[in-house]
Amino acid sequence: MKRNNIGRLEEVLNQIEDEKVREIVRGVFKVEISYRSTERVNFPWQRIRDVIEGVARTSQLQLEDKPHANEATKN
Amino acid sequence: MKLQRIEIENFASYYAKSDPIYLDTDPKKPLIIFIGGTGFGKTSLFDAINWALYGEEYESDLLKVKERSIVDYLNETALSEAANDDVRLNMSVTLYFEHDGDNGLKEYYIKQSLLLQPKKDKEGSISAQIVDRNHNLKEITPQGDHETIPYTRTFLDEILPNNVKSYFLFDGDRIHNLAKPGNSQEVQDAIYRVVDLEIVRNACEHLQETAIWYGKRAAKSAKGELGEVENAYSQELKFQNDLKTKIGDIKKERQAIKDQIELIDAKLKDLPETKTLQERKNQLNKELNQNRENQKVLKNQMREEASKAFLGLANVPLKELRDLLKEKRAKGEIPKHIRETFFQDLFDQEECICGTEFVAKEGNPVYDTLMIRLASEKNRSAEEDQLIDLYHVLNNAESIISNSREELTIKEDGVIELEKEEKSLVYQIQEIDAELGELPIEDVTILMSDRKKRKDRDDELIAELSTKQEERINSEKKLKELDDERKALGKKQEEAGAQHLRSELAKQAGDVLNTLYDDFAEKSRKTVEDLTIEEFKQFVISSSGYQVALSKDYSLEVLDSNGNRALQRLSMGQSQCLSLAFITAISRVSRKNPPLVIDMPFSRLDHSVHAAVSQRLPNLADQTILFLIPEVEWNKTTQPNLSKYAKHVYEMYFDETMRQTTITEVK
Repeated sequence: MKRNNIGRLEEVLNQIEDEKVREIVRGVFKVEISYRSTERVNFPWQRIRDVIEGVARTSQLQLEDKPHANEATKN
Repeated sequence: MKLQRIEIENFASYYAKSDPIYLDTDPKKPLIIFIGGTGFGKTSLFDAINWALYGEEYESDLLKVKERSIVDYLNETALSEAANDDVRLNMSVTLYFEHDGDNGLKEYYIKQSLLLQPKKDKEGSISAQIVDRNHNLKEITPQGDHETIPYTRTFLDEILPNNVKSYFLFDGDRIHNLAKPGNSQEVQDAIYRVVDLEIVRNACEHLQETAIWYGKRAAKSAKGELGEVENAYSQELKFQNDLKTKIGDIKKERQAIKDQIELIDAKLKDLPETKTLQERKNQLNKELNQNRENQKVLKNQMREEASKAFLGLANVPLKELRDLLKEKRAKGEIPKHIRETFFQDLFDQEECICGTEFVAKEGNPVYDTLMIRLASEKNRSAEEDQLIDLYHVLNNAESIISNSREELTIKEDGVIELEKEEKSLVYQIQEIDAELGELPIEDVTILMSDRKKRKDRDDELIAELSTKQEERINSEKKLKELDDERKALGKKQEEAGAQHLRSELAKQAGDVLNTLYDDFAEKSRKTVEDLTIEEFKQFVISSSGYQVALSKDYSLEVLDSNGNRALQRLSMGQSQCLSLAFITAISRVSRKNPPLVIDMPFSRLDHSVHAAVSQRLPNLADQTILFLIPEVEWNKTTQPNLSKYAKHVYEMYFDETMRQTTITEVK
């Protein structure tokens, strides 16, 4: 995220404890900032979904990795 | 962002390619000043800066706000010359600026240009049509190369977003309106946009919508019992979001009603004053009419006296006439004949002057003789009587003339006094009219009924809000139950589970943001409030008796030393300083650090605050560009305070024959 873009919004992000949620909010802020204009047409929903998708995949991978880790411990 | 220079070509009253107008500033001299009369091209320059930055977006604003198309800005002379030569012509504005972005301080220029084709119609009037348009955004590298970078909204958002530009590039009207009672929506809008509350609120809403979208996908992927639960969950989520929107709408409507009630209260408060002023005006009008009546009477009397006093002009011939009559009288020429009264006396005495007694009856010889003589003398003495009367009149004429002159002087003094009184009465009536012009002239009954209607609607909304909030709590409970159920069932189906995860993540993020929003909004409000208070005190010394506050619903509020609301009581100057203080505060909180470009900052300000405002203006931003009217705004008070902080001071000249503006730097 560009330094000048985020400005005061960093204060909001700093208050979010859950890392996943923080990443989602950060990504959504980016989308909102680039969309900001007087004409509110064609909102880029796909970009919001991409943000969720990215974080969800990381979470799923982490979930999938846990059993492997357990198996490794067993072995 | 800091502006460096601007180049204009055939834009409005700027003919051909202008020389660069330098806009660079430094920390010690942060001001650029343009001085020009009305119609000299100040606002056109203001428009040129806006057009250069925002191009077609600004053209839409021009159409909406000023009902002007960008083609209307084409310079008249250039268009006429191009039409005569049958050639196309350019209109362009190039703005050079520096911006401290994430890669450090860089130089850029942005150019908007139109290629236009002149057209003559049958009546001979000339118009133009856009043939081509270009916008170039280039970075000037340290090596001096001009590298094209994409002209995108994202870039402009970073330097100065279009939706907040009106709080940095603004005119006297905006200053005038912000601190008016009942304008909390405008104030709220400014805070939402400039300090990024809008971003947080929109992110919240979009995350909630996305959660619904994933919920629906999960429902599609799921089968049987899980499908039903997913559907129920999805519907409940939608219901809850609709409730949130409805609650938001109710709150907005309540805010609008509150503004309207405040406006009515302000009018009601001023109405007794209107009544008192109206009564005073009626009394003065009565006195004025009486005064004019008295003047009329005195002037008529003066006319009469004047005719007598003018006799003084004939003093010499009158004296000669009197002497002539006196002489004739002495000689016995007047009266020459025996008067009728003399005979009447003899008849009454029945004795002739010779001593003969007689009876005054017909037949008496003495009586008859006297009657015959009387008949011969009758009417012969009338003219002589008139001459004797004239003689007496002429004897009195001198004193009459002298008295008339004295009377005339007294009456003339009286008229002068009355005329003075008349002027004073007219002045007082004009003063009252001016005061009345600023006060509402409305019917108390209508206002009260209007207020009651709005209050009733507000009560309805309070009830509706309470119901909706209760429904929302219940919906939240139901959603939690459905979520637990679908989680249990969802484990059975992987795809549905994956969609659950996304839906849940989006909802979780939306909910977290929703919780943080209130804190963030409150913190922003408090910061803007503190800075507004600080700035307002710097602007107006007389503000020390007032307590400024930005209420929870974003109304700018001013309380007097007794804690009573005093926004309506602020003078025009004080309220405009409050607006400037507010704009400065949100500019600081925004951390966007843009230049302030203010068109006619003093135009609506009371002269008494010119000193305070002109002392403060240089400290408002790192770069401030002012467009000022000579005398009215650039005067003995403002000039010393502003000129020492001005890097460039430009004078604008307008050639009425050529209809062209030229700009000269004042050394």
